[in-house]
Amino acid sequence: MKKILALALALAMLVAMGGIAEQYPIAEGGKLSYAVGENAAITAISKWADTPFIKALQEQTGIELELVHPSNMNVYIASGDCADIVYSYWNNDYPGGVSKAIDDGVIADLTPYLEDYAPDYLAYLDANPVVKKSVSTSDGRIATFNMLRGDPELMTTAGIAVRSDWLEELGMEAPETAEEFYEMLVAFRDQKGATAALTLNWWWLQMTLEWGMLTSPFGLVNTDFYQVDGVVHYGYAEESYKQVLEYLKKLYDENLLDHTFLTIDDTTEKSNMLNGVSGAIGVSGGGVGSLLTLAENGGIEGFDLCGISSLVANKGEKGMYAQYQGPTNGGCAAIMASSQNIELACQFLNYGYTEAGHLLYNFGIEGESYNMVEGIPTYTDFILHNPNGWTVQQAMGQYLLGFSEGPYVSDKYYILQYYARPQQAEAVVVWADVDAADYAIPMVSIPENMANEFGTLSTDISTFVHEQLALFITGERSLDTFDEYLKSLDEMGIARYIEIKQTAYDEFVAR
Amino acid sequence: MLGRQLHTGMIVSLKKDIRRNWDAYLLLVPAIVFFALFCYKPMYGVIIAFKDYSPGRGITGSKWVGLMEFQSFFSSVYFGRLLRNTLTISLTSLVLGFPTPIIFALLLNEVRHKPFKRLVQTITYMPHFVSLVVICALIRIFTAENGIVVNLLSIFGFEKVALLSKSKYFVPVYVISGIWQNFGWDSIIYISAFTAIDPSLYEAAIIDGANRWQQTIHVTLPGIKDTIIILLILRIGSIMNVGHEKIILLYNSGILETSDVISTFVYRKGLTNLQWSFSSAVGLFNSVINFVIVLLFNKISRKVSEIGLW
Repeated sequence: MKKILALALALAMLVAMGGIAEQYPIAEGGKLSYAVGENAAITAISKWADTPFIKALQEQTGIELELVHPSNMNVYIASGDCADIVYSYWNNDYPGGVSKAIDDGVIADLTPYLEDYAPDYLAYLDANPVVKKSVSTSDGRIATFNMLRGDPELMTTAGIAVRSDWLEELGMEAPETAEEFYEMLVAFRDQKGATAALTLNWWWLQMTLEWGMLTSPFGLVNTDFYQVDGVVHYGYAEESYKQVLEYLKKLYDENLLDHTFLTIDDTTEKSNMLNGVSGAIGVSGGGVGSLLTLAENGGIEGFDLCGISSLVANKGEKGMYAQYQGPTNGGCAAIMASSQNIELACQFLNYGYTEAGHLLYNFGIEGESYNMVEGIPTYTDFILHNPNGWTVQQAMGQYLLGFSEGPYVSDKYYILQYYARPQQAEAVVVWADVDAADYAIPMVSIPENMANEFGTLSTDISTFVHEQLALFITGERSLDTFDEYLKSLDEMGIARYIEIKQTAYDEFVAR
Repeated sequence: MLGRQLHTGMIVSLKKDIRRNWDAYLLLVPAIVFFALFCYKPMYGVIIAFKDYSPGRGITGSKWVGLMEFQSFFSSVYFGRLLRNTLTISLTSLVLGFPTPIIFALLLNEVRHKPFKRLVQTITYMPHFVSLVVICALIRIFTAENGIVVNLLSIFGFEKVALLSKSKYFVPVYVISGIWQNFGWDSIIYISAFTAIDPSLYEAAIIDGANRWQQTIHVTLPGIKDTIIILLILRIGSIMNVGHEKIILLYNSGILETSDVISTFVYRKGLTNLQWSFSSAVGLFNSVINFVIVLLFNKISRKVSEIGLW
């Protein structure tokens, strides 16, 4: 009698525990196939299946993995013969997005499975309602395990960087307002002989506007979609956009903005910075590092970079926007509807959102790729200064997934340590110091019945605004015709374009 | 060849011909199978141009939308410009690029020194094998503000500006670089056609007192007339196909006015919205136009010169 009671009690405890969180390794184990694109940093050293990371992942989850690396994800998905789990940018790679993929019977609707088989993932989503909305379809279904950015430092990793050694020499501080930025560029041109003080390639020039790095002083959040108190705006169609153009045209006319921005390539931009032709550039955190390394190797004395925050109207204010990427980037793992192992796949994918899984995905294997130093997972020398001469990414590729994408929450200590130089981490912090979250529009999915219309408008309007941007700055089109520009946008259906986005946004907010 | 036979009244029945030349027909079989399986059978897939194709639903499972995708294409604000640019680039390439290999072949034909002839041939058809990406990188460097091409042109008074940043220079850059890359390779077929000309015709011309120039005009050119016409009809049959790869490697938003063509527009649209049906509709539209033009030109050609593709 006593024995039976004890057993019953033990079983009850087990059941109770099972309801709180998933237990790993999964008792019954099993086999799953996982399809994801290849990563060059990993394949440079070995096949992903042979890495200590995958071995540890299989051990810790108790599941045997069969990895598939399709060279073309769209074709792979369309072929119909897929692995159990497919990791991709489902909203972009499948026409109609996640919602349509479920309706078409391609991927499984996981909403009913999450509570029992992915409790940790569900718990994270419930604790972060904006994130939960971002990963759900417009009607509230969840079918993906998304790559999530857990900290603000991970959400902004690019911006404008300037020669901080020149600033020191000239006795100037890092510019905050549009006037100060202009004066800095003038000083670079006149006193340092920079013939193209601000060098930007065409894509970057668009990004300084679409990511609002140069627009706040003129009362414009950015030139792309943004929202103010729930009302969606499209920057390229705003009146204040004209002042942004005037500012850029001034920079162009006074030879402060690189005249070759339409045709310049990445290498020339970098060499401009290194040769003193330019003093300011649009770049990512990683780019800051590579410039500093190149300067070191090239023996350029005193070369130093610092990031500057998005320009503002008045000193002391905070910029409205930056290269803010939000908590999700669209990459996610979906389980194919044809899979025989949906529950098992859920349990496997849930692992990334547990404590142990978080450490494995972000930092790897304790003692080999990281050690706990004062409570902070710290990468070992094998990762940061690899004895075989591998790059940081390549070394990471063997032990973790933090540098790439997967079904887990990214940890800020990854990025802070990934950057080899302090200037990089400092730049990222400076760039992130804006109110972007207040204005950002999350990744909303356009309702299926409007998707076609939106797509057509999108191509036409996007072609138009980018073409006119180039023509306005170079002076091929006079800014006096700005009103006609706005009229053309009207005729192209800009109101409807914004309306559709507003509908999508409203649906998102309402969930 | 078959046409000539019909012409001279030697109509041979198919059965007899197969029995006599069974080995030739056997050689033909793999080609026929290839075309049937990989060209004709997939043609049925073109119906996705009339459907709202979704990979999950498959071709049969996707619903019909009729001409919606075509309407979406024709009603685009840029349709007129795209069509104009496509035809401009295509026709300019044709008018300038078609005669060049012929003239070059004729000139090369006059060269007596065999080793020199071979050297020139090899050098001129090497660019054909260089990857397009490399060619375009070279073009961008040479036409940059300080590039060698711009420097040379500025001697003649041209403005010193990156050629690819101004709309008006795009077509010349595109067409001239294309001719440079391909004229050597394209001339090979004409050079080989020269060898098919009966040498006794040359002898007869010399006896009649023709100089080299007159021989070229009255013997060589008529001798390769058939080749020229066939190649011209084939070339015209792809008039709507201005490929997107080279343009994408060269263009930027500032010069869309002359560089945005149908294929680049569809490429961009595909990126924003993965439109399988849309791109099929545009492809079908292109093919129909090409086909109609080929039919037309073949008819004209037969009327004028009795030579045609069929």
